[in-house]
Amino acid sequence: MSHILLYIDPGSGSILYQLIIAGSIGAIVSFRNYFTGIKTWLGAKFSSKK
Amino acid sequence: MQFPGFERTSSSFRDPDGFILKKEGIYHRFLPSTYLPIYQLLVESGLYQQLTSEGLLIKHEETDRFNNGLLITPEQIPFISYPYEWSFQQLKDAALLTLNIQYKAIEKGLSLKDASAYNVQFIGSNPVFIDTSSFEPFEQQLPWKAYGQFCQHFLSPLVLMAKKDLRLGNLLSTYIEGIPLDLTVKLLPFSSRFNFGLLTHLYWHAKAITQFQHKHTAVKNNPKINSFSKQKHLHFIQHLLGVINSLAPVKQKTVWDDYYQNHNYTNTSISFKKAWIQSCIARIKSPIKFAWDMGANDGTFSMIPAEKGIYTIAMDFDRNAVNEHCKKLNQLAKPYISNLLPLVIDVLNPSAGIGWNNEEKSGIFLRGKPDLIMAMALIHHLVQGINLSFDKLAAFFYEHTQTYLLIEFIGEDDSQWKKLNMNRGNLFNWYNEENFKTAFLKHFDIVNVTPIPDSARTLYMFRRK
Repeated sequence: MSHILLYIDPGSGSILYQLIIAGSIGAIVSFRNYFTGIKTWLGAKFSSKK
Repeated sequence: MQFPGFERTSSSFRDPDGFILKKEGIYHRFLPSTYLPIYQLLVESGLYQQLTSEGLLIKHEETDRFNNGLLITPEQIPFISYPYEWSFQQLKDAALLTLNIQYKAIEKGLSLKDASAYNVQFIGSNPVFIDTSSFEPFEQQLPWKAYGQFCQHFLSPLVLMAKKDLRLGNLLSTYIEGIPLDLTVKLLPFSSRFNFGLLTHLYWHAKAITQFQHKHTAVKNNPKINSFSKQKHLHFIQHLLGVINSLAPVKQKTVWDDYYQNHNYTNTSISFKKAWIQSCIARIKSPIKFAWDMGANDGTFSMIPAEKGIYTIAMDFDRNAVNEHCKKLNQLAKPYISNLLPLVIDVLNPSAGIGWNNEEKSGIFLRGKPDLIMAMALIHHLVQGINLSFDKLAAFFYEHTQTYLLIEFIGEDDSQWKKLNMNRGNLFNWYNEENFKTAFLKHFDIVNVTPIPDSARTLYMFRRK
């Protein structure tokens, strides 16, 4: 599909900026997700031992 | 394109992939044949089914098929409202809805091509995405095209209301394309820079827009822009979700947020007024569908018609009071939620038409006339506020209600009136119940008059002549 008409102007600034920060944001979110996963796992372990 | 029998609405022209048509009071959406492959993808991917079953996207029926496209008829919105009329809570709910849809869309191979706050409407307290033609196929390498628009429409006003002042939400009526990020960062307190989410999505983002504003880079097939994976997209949306979720309205004292605590309302007089409104609504034999409660504050009285199945708009100009009302409703169960819509409306300066030719977003009075208007303890403030005469007030309510008006008259001996009138000399020497009645009886018949015991206040139920 070649439906590429952009009826809103995405603005080069917002597009290029996402490329610049996506790496750091990805790292932060991955770390958070990993940390939340560990917390959930520990929580489950802890509550099952009760 | 001509559609005999249909009227093309003046607000629907920006998106070539779909526009709104109206026939006999019913709104339809026309999808041209060029958009139909994407519409098929929306349906066949299961995304339409998923989003509508979760109440995130408006349901529709395929009504008619033409040579040049498809007509769909969505579930009708009882009352159209706009982002500048929403409280902090409502705008936040709309932002989270947009991001949730984008997240689920990416998972199914689609993406939102725009993130306008005007794509969301409220049915009672529930936000719903109404623009079925906002989807496009997800393209792996490209960043989110609507990111800039999302930040201007949602993040900017929310952060201004969270970090500075709730009244800055009113800027949305001036900036129909959303609040420019460079303006937002100028208005924010310096301390906002220490929040990483705001630093990235507002401060650095605003700088990047200025930096690259003259650099027109083609996004499609650009070898430099090929590194934005699906996982990156999902992380990006997750991060934005976290930033929006963490925002709470700034704690500020406003005139009306504790009105019922600080004024001469006893629990008995509130209960008396509630019982009177209930009896008035019970008196109405013809079916009424739609009511406005003007000066509704936190919706203490708006709940009464809503409970009776009447779709009620609770209007107040105080953003804090409307936000409290929304929070209260979110804690309640249906039917309030589907029947009661709180909005930030200043009766002295109601929403006008804005956008192209002042027709893109219509003024509040062009969006449907209520069968019933309630104005409890309101008109003395309007008189004091801008010197409105009883004749002007009576003509106003006559113009806007289809049938009924429930109105409270605050007598000149009322302590609240005396307090407000303390330094006004003889300016309002015409303000008395006799003149009030003379003005209103030109346009209305009295159905019921009930004085509130032990007060200088009287409740009137009027019927339009």
